[in-house]
Amino acid sequence: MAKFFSKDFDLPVTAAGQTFKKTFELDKSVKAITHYTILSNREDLAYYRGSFGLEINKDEIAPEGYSVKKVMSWASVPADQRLKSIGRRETGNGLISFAYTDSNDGLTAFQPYTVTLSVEGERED
Amino acid sequence: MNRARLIVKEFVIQKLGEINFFQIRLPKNATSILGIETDVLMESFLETDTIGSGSHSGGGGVLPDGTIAGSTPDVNLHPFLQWGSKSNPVVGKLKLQSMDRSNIFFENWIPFVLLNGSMPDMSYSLFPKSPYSLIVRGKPKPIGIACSNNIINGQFADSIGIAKNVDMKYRVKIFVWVQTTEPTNGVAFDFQMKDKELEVKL
Repeated sequence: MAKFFSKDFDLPVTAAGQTFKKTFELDKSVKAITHYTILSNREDLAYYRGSFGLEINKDEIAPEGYSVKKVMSWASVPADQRLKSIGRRETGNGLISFAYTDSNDGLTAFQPYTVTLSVEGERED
Repeated sequence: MNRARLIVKEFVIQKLGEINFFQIRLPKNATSILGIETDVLMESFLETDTIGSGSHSGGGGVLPDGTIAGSTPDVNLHPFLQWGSKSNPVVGKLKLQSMDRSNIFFENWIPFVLLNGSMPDMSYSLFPKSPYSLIVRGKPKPIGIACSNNIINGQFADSIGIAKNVDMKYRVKIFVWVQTTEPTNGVAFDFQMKDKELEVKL
């Protein structure tokens, strides 16, 4: 039986109105990704300004431009529903491509912040 | 069940009362439209309507004569300490039309959803509900219509600019979930899954 796997990947957002791309590599023991969400140390900035794109093993899970607010969750959401389910995507080459775009808006003033891609899945030891 | 894909359509509204006609092109292997989500990125300064007194003061905002008063509003990070409520402003009306039998299959007012916008008010009690307790993650509005021509016609009409009598600049994002003929490779999004609590086990 596969074991539970969870990991967070941080991406610093250091400039306003730019796209930041990073490819994260999973451990070889990780066989599949089942859930993901996006967290931030400034959730107001990520909520209002953020959009993202996500690929797992070169398979597009969310295209660039998808709003971060669509996958964020709050304290009121039950703990087992805070991450967005994507079924069971096998990791293949183990690469996760994450592109985060910060856009200037009329409600927030930019400050450097960090967004975190949080994934859950299955691993085998 | 085949693989669902997400199509993103984005356009800018920047004039008072602007009406935008657009087309959304779907992939050739799309067989049906599963759901629609919308989002708004507000680029203009926006002073939200408040009810009651509180940390969100009435200063700032676009005045009826078009001038901007005050500075950028603070985003409230402490909803428990905010005694006033903020309503989510509606930015305009969106209509989507399929050339199939379904014709206009989506028609809705599009809100700009504030992070802490909600209903709580001191009139409820001394300790109002946290707005966080009212926010849940949304799901796409289920559509479930077949699409054979791979083009969606759309129309968006600005209303917030008319209400404020000023040019408001914002980006409207439309997310169209479509079913394709591709194999799932294990991917099934949450809105495609049945609610286990509602399932009846025979």
